[in-house]
Amino acid sequence: MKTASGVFRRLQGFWILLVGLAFLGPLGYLIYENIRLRPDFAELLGSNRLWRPLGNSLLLATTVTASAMVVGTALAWLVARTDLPGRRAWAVLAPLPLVIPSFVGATALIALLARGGLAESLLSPLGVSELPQLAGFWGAWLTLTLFTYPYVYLPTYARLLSLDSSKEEAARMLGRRPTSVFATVVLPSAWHAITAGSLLVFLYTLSDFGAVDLLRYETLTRSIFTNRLFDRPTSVAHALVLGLAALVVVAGERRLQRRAGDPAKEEAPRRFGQMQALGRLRWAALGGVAAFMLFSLAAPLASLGFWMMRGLVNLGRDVGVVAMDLSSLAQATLSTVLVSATAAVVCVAVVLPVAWQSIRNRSSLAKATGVLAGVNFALPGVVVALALVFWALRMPFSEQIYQSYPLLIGGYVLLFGSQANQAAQVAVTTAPVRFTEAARMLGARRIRRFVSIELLLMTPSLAAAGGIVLLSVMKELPLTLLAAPTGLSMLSSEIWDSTETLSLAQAGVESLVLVAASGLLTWLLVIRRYRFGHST
Amino acid sequence: MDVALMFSTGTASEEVSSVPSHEVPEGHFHDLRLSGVCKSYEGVEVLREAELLVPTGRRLAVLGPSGCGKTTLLRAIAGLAGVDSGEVWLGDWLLTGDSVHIPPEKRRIGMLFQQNALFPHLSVGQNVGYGLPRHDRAERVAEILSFVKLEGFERRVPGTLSGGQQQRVAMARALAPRPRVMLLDEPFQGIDAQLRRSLCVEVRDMLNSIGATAVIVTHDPDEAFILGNEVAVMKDGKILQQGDPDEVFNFPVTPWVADFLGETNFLCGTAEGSSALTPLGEIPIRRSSGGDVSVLVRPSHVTLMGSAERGGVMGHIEARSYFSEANEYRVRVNGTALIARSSRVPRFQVGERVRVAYEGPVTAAYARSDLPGDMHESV
Repeated sequence: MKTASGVFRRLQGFWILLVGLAFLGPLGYLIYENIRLRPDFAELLGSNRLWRPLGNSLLLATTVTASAMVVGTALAWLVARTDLPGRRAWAVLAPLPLVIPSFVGATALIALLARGGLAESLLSPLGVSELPQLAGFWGAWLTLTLFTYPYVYLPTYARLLSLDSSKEEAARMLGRRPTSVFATVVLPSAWHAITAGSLLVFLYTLSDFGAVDLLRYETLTRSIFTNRLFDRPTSVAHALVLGLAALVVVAGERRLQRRAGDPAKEEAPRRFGQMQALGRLRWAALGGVAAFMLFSLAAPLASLGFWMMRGLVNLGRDVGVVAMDLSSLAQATLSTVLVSATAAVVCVAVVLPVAWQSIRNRSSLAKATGVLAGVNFALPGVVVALALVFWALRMPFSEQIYQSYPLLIGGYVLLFGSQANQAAQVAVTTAPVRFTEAARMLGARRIRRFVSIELLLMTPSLAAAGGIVLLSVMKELPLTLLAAPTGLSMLSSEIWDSTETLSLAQAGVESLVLVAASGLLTWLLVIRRYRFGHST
Repeated sequence: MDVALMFSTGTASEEVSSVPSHEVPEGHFHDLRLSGVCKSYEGVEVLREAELLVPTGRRLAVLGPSGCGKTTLLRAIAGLAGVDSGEVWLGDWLLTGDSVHIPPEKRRIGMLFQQNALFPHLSVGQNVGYGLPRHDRAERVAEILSFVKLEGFERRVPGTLSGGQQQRVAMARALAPRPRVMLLDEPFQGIDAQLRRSLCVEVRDMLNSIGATAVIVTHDPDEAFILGNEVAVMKDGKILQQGDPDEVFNFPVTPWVADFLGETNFLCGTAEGSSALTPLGEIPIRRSSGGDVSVLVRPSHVTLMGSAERGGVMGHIEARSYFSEANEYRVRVNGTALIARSSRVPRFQVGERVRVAYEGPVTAAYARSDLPGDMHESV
């Protein structure tokens, strides 16, 4: 049947095919390069050169996921469902470490404990002279836990907040104690949110490069990055292994989720859950929450602020660690915001047809593209960046493409398309089919239906989708380092340079600006929605 | 003003029938015809040779349990669902047929959706004006809003209106572009029971006053009988019976239809000519080939009298349930248990001996073998 909407649908199908092909790029690069360079797998498998970094990566990802899961869930429950003192304030503060990229967090903690840092100046009057230095496994574990738990906290908090109290009441009426109610009713209800968040933590940690590099913990990402120029066969082999590890985890989680189903979809809460009185534990809980937030939020920001102040005092003087140059800061901030905003808009626009066809028409092509996008999200930024550069140099007009803005934006789309796709799918559900059909029956054609009804209904959720991408782009380091056009200074790469040259004051001010900018933007676009529940 | 009058509980039908019909120009409605419409989803036949004729200005209520295909039927008329074979005609305009499928946006069909589907991000005025050309939009919106008695609601947002008001806005929106036929898909779902009935009457009167051709889909027999000039009963993708509401209610073609339309007793009896001999005595029946039959007896047609009165057959009350207007009794007569409704005061007591009589119209009788396995004769 040849109808206008049939043509429209076919155009969308064509577009989805293109997007799907693009999402194949990084995987294709890994396979192609591994075949071309023929790394000596027998040698790699027989030596510690593969097993050590792989073991380190998996150990770190597993332990960070476990601790972030515990902390994120506990915080979410305390803030959402108990009489914890200052709940409202904690509800504002608890998600904030989300906007601190791991390498900025690592920088802040290193700077905190550094000679002449905030910890030393606070503790030396007390006679403490030797401070422990943050490095290796424990340093990486602590840093990543402190700054990744919001991935668990946010969805779990939202879920617990909207939990219908009738099930808890039923359990109480059947004679269960509060602890048993928590274990048998509350926790299972939130389990989907907890595991979904934990998967993000796992992938984030597995692909993290900045923090582990700064803390000198030898993971796969670090070896891929350091070997990329001088030992390419090892680098691409490690990249392949890392990619496979990520894929195995994603596939496993999908299987688990499919078996469990999402209870959140079945119920619409009539009455919201009741508050659990903590009793004598109230103040202990407050102490715990405060201590944790001290390390994940207050200390890093104070440390960065401390070095910034020291730098401001010495402004314009060349005094090593505390030297500071503000001239490029405004430029870097502006380009960071512009590039991230562009990437966010492009990314959402690119994946919207994919999300649309997945939800509305259950198109298997669109779903397959979504899975491919998920593969790219699981791949570390280092790998995607290397793939991007690799393909850019092999395309026609490579001179124009290589290190260009469009290529950088394209890289962000590859890396964060999955996040955008998932958020856009939520957006599509906020424009139910019945509104489209109602508009149709009133004579509106395809374009008018889309613009006047569907797009307007989806706008708030699409803004949130863009916000998620925006935040990710601002936090992304390896892709920005490897694919940014020469002359473009982004805050993340500036911070990286400053930290590497131990210009802690400079790193401090740049980090604070990055955190402030991404905090403000994501607060406006994303977190606000979690706090006040879904507005649909 | 008299307070009693201000708060008078006159039914909605009285209020609306006073609206002069010339407020909305008539004459744009057409007749609707379906022939041999078939549709399957994944190998399951949802519509099997569906035939319908709705003459101009008439309202057909399609009644059936959920999953019987009635919504698919409506969506096939609207063009929202394609069909495998068959034709849909609006007047002399072929909407759906062999290699013809007019897209829904060009059919000029007004539709009232389940859960009303008002655009939540648009005001009432923008909703109602959505299907109108720009030039006379404001005027027509005002005109149609006053027709549904929502003058001055243009600026309001749907979310701030009551369920009944939302329904009227949806009605106004569907009627504004002067559709040629109106489709109503379970229009009162999610509206509470008390409001439902009056809203139903109100919608009927509105459709009536503008002479609308309409197809209404519902699973509620009461709604169907209020809204339709004609009722069609559907099951498993097939229309089992279509006709005047009285005819359908009193002479259902099968026991299943009888049971779907309301509470039933099936009394075993022996037919002879135009009556059947049952445990309740002789009951007038219409169709009979003689012999053993099951006779349809509605509980409201079973009259209960005190044992001292005359007439009827002796029985006794076995159980009793209270309803707001009538009581429902289970009575046993000559070894047969049957359900009776009675509003008699004082109520009969359980165990009380009563006289039982059939006081109803000519009714339907079925061959015993027509009674499906899950439906039993009174025993």
